[in-house]
Amino acid sequence: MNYYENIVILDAALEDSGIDAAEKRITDLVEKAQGEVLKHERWGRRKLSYIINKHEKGYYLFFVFKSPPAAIKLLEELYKVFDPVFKFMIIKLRKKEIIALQNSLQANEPKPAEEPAPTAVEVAVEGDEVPSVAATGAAE
Amino acid sequence: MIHKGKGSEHVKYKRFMRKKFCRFCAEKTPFIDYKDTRTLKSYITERGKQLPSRMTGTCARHQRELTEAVKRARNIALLSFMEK
Ligand SMILES: [Zn+2]
Repeated sequence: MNYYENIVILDAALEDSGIDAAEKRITDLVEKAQGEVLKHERWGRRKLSYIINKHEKGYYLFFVFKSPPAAIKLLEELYKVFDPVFKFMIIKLRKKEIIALQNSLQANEPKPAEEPAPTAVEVAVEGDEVPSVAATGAAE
Repeated sequence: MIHKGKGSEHVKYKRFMRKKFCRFCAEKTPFIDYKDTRTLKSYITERGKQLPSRMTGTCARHQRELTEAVKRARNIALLSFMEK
């Protein structure tokens, strides 16, 4: 099992139902491949720093998951054929990043007895990290 | 006269000398996050090019990490490759 971070950019024209569906499809795939989604965030519609496939804007989804490497292959195959996704990036986390991740997960969950199931439901906004990203994007 | 000229030049030069230090070492940053574009933006030019460490004072190790973070951020369109 490895830890991965995944950013997916969806078509900004997609309606909320489409975004829900895309998010569910991704999490389902990870879970089917014996993975576990540790975090997922919606950064929302942002202006892209440069045009990708004629898109000026995109809807950013952010995932952190723990999964076997095979899940990544499946994800990449899905993204290639999944129309709403026009850009994605998957990064394998290294030791220091994993430690920071575990600390942030523990901070979000004060009760260590609980199973990490509710993390998939709650969109954790940690610190000012994500709003700052959104703010810089809006400023341009 | 020559001395005076040299002196003023020296002062001018000195004004641009700031104590440089590696911010990431000073703050003991565990790792440089490519998602933190606010930090990354202070290490790139207006046109989007990365600043050399001799200008920012970043140590070699963190400059390498920074480069990777900038590349990741560019890849996912959080930063641009080139402005204009
Ligand atoms: Zn350093």
